[in-house]
Amino acid sequence: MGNYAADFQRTNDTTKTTGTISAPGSSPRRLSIYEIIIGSEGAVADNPFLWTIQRTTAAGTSTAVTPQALDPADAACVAVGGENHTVEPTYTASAILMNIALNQRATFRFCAAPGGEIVTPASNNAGVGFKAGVGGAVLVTVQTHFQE
Amino acid sequence: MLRPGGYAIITSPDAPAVERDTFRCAHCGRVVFVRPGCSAADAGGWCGLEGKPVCGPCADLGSCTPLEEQLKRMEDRARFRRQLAEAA
Repeated sequence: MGNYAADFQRTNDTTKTTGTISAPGSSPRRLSIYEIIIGSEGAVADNPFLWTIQRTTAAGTSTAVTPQALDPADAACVAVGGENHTVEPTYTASAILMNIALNQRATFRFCAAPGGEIVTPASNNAGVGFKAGVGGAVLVTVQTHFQE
Repeated sequence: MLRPGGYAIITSPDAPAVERDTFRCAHCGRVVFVRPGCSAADAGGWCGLEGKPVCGPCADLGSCTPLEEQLKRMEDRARFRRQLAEAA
């Protein structure tokens, strides 16, 4: 079981997802997300953001992001990352795992204790999506660390 | 809180850092932020069967479906749909 890091960036769009991390289309594994960092590197402004982390059952269409192993001795990650979505993932209704109201100037960090991680099922293409349904059109970054 | 399931911090150049303990709902897996000194009802609920905290919506449901069981059901549904698609 290795630890991996993935980061997602885009110019925020309230109708488009910033990033997803999903199990692959075959031989899926459960993912345990234990760290999330959200912020904006855009020009300083007071835009309010409402970040939502929600379960997905399909990853949509996006730019591929390859999760990196934190320990180089670990095998390559089988989970699939994507950023800057053009076609939205399929979100599971009412399966919101975290809501964060955040000012553009602020940075949010979540660290899970063992047993407190966000866990995704070992289903093909299932995972979580990170999106800001409220927010300005500025550059945003989501950094996540997970185990699989 | 005693034995938190996680920790969250919001840092901002214009305000003091805001820190919160978190716990994971034992049913749906949602991460709940716990405001220090809030009432137990505001923080969520408690599942007496599992002996673990749950989020407000799961407490309102009144039934116990552990997270492991919910994940298993998601995996079974996906496996069934895949088998249907392969059989078609």
